[in-house]
Amino acid sequence: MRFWRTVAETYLAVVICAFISFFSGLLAEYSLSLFYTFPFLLVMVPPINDIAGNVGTILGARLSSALHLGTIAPRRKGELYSNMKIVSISSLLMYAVVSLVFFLYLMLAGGSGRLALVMLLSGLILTPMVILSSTFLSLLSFAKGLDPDNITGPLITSLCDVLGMCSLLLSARLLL
Amino acid sequence: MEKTAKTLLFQILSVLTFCAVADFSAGSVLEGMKEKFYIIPGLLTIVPPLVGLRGNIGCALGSRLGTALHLGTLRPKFSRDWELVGNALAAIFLSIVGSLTVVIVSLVLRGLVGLPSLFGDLVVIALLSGVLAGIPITFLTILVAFLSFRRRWDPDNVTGPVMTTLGDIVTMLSIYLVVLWWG
Repeated sequence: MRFWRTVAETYLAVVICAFISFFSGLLAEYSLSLFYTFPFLLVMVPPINDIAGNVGTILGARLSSALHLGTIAPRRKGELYSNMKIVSISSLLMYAVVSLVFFLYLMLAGGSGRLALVMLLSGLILTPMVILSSTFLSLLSFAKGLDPDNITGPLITSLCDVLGMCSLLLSARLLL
Repeated sequence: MEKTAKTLLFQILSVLTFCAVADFSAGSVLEGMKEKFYIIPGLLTIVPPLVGLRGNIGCALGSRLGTALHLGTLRPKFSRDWELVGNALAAIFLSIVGSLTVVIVSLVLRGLVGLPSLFGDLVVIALLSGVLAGIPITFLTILVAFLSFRRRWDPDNVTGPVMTTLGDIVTMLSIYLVVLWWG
């Protein structure tokens, strides 16, 4: 347990994240009127961002353990591809299920059912972006001698905050 | 391989389902606070960075514990082992220093794009919510990592998602409480 290495690496990641996440908050604040026009739109923000963030985090943590254990190496990519495949499937299934749950919630709460479609489309846009960035970040940080445990998770969740907000606003613009 | 893939898919999907349900409550807190975002300019700007920060610290801690448990350098029980204590201290330290950095960075960036914000108030809100959320989140992360490892669930599949989600809820609630108390 190297205390200062951990603190320094995580702090670095967290500060970079603050810069990234800032844009997510700023986008939200610029779109405050959209959130007033469509009640329940703001409710979707945490689920959309988090599913993507979670998927990216799981993939990152798995790749990190595999890289540390040596089951993924420059000439051993099978484990890498099967991880990417399984995590992509999980992500798409999750967005489908959550959109359905959200649809039922909207019916009960008296919101517009179209919002559930907005969520589904956001998920479809987000999934490939997350899988690719998480893989890229893990492999890159490991190759640079950093611990992916400290880097991928934080960066990917912040990146997902911004990408999630962008894809939500994009889907809302396309469908509403 | 077929069996591991199925187990993996099952573990990931159960965790994600739990998180998705929990996330709707975080979203509802956000929806419930909507008025406050007009009253305190800049509040909505600091919410994603702060929420993200807590999730990140929990998730990095969880990821490190996962690796340590897999490597066998850490046993899944509460002890005074430095591998555990050091990791926990690093997380709490990061939560406090991180909150300050994150809020100052966000507000300075806001200033640069020409938006007003209640600087002093927001720094205090961030610090208080940092202390209020940081300690339970660290404790929960360790608990989740240990419990999942003991039950032979891969902590890599569990702690990250569960902690970003619990981090969201705990942080949203802590911001909400501090804002209510602050006026």
